[in-house]
Amino acid sequence: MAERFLVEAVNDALHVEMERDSSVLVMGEDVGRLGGVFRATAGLQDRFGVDRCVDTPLAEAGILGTAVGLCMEGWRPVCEMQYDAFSYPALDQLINHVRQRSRPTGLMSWSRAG
Amino acid sequence: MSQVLPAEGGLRRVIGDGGSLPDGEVQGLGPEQLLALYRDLVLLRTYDERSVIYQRQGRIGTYAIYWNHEAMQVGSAFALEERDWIFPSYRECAIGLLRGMPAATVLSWWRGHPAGWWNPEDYGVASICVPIATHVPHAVGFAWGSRLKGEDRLAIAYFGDGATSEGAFHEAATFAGVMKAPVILFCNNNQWAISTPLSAQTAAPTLADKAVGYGMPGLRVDGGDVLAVYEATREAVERARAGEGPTLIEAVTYRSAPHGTADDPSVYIDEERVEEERENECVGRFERYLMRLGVLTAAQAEETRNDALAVMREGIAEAEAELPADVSLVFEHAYADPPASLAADLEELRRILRDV
Repeated sequence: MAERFLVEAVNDALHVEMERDSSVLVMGEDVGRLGGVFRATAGLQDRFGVDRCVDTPLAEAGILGTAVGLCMEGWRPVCEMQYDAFSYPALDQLINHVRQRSRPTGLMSWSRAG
Repeated sequence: MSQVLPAEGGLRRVIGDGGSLPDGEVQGLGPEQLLALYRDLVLLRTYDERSVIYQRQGRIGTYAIYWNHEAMQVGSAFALEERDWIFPSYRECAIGLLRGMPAATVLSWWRGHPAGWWNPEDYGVASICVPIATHVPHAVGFAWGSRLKGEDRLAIAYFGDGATSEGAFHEAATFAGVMKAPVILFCNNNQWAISTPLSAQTAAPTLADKAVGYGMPGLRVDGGDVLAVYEATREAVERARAGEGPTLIEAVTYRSAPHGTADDPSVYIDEERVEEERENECVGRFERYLMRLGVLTAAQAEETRNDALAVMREGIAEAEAELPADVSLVFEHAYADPPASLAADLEELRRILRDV
């Protein structure tokens, strides 16, 4: 097996998946033109275009929240938020909504009635 | 870059007051469409009024009342095509009825029964969102995804005035503008977030003004005027379909019922203002308009109300006939291989339920 840095493996996996499945898109902070601050998404925008490797506004809840909507429309978004500490604003979406999508009922947020 | 227009100041209106304020009309709406709008209004009104009674009778749980919000829901939904998706908050819990969803389904939701969990794909209606504004980005993402696929379907998200203070609203609107998402952000501004008045919610002169910051038009409409709401939404729909992106609609009304069945507004609200609003409530306003036009008779109105009551009678009977869900449901769908501790918890829960 070829030896490589972890980030290179991530980059490779994204290339493979986006080639294999046209519903996979990458979205988030600096993923497009720059190719990610850690180079995880390098080359993706050139290869797959600006619609499938999308530089988004700097808004983590917006990134994950719109990704939920993209899923409902049949996309398989991969979200980039750069640093773990950046991801906390998105926890609301993760806890209230993303996890509910795993239920077979097609249900979101029912358990949060207050 | 397209030019960012200032938001509207005044409220759009079509329906007059039968006196000095003249009636207008909406192009393209004939008697058939007007009566369809009326049936939808009566259906939602009846759902709401019956639900308050069912709650008092202990037949459903806590319920978020939407009395006098029907014109905003019916008028906007009427401007959509079946393929477009609706993202409701709890205030629009029964909007699926306008898409053929059985009343029993929504009643089951309020009974906390899994029969109330519908598949959004079946109706183009997403699940009811109870956290505030967190569903707005879903609508934006859906619409953005639709544009990327080259599909001609848009999304509408409903939320209240309080929701415009939320980060999720701000982030969603930011994305909508940047991605030119074919989405309508529909704010039902009833001027109260439970007990918090709009003046404590924002220093912005209007909520539509916020649209400017996201690079989208902001329309303001009388939320009690079903025709004005329809016309404004139709305009937003046309923009979205033409690839011109999102629109923020601020529909203005005054909350004239409690926030929900557990709320007592007498401690904070201006009762006189409520009384004034109740006298001019949206279903009656449209009913009188149709009668002035000669499109609706008293007998037809009566028949429409009776039909809606029959829908509710059947709906509650069907919901109450559902067998209770097994409590094991609470523990399912989280783990592919549930840990042993969950089985013990389930056993404990069964024991507690047996003992009460």
